[in-house]
Amino acid sequence: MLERVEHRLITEDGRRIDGRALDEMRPVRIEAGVLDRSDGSAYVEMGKTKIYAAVYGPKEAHPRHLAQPHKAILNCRYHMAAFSVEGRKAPGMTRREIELSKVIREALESIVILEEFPRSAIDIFIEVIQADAGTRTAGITAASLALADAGIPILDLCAGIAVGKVEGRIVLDPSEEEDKKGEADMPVAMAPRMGSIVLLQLNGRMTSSEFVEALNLAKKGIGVLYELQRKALGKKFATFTPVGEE
Amino acid sequence: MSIYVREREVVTPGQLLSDDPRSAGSYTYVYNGKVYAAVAGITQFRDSKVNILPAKAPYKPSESDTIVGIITDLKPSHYEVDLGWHLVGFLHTAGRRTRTRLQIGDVVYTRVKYSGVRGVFLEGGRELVKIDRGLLMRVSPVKIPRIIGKKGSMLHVLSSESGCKLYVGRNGLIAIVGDSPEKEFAVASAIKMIESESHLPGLTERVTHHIRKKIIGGEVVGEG
Repeated sequence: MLERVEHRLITEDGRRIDGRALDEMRPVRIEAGVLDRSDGSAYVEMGKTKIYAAVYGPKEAHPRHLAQPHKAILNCRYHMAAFSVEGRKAPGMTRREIELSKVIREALESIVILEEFPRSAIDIFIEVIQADAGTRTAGITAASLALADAGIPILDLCAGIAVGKVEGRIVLDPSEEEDKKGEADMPVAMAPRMGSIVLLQLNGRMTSSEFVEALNLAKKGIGVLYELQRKALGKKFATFTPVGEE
Repeated sequence: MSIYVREREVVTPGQLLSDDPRSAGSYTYVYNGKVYAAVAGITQFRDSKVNILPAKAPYKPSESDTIVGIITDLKPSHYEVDLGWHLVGFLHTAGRRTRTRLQIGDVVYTRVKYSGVRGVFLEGGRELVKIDRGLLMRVSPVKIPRIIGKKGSMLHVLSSESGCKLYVGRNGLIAIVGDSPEKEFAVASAIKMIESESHLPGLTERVTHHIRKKIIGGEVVGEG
């Protein structure tokens, strides 16, 4: 006989299935300049979510009629590797990936100073190597760092993190299981210096007070990620001190 | 007026640099009357302005820059010149002489006449040099000032030690024309050395030594 066992995502003492506190994010690793053949690149790891971002350009805009005479255009491709999820994902672009590419592009358009490069295009590739929830936000974190690594002028770095509602509690950076079984999932990306929200989506239901709580929690997480991004960029300069001008 | 950074400090995009919009230098932007960094790099104060020297940056053409480019297309009224980056330069055919002189694939050394919303236009006439042999290499455009050196000192070392003629383009393309491939490769490897060691002191001596070593063929004559 099989007995039905209740599987709880949050324990009595406020611990989550992976032992984290409610406002604790997964272990983060952020690196800049990881791919040699790109103009700029970055790697972001949040728990089991692993993402590479690469920036190419600015270069000539193709097809030509898309080029803007006064600014650059941004092309963005968010793609999940076939081996990134359990089972196999078809390697082509799914509806979901096409839509995420669009929202990530729009988020990044608000930080890149596109007017610096008229008639050209900047290509951003976000490749999800392993997916365990929060890939779009980690993708934005990686992409903005890759842009900075490429030396493309940006108003600010931006970072993203998801907030979820699990068993009636607001949690930071939900994992795949919490995301699937939870009541709500809200990815947020911000440019902290400007204090502007560049991406905000909400899947599920939250009360207005829960929303405010969730947004504040996201801000806290983004602040931590922002400092890690800055540290990753600074590391590249540890040996770099330009000397000598004409 | 107050400045929030020290000289030669590492800054990241979005970092507050100063309260005074007049101190906005290169690779910075002004927002609500304050100056912020637009790229990651190292600060440099010059003429009461805060500039940022980036580690890596795409080439942005400005008027009177000397450039090296490759002819990619012949059009009825102009040539299209690949500047090695996202940019295509336009070279107007001034008279029949220039027109017949250049072919697709030719490398030219010239000056930027105009750069703006209409595109990048290059100087045609007498200033244009067609480079018909030698070695073409590409370096990061931010390293070009180091390759030229203070008042052209590094460039002088490179050419006098090897006997090669160098055409250095601001866009990061460099043409090396020498009388033997060995000499050209010696200069190319020296330029790569400058690019990777641009932050270390005593570079000029090492470059001199490097070229001599390469040209003589692995043997070091007169160490030091």
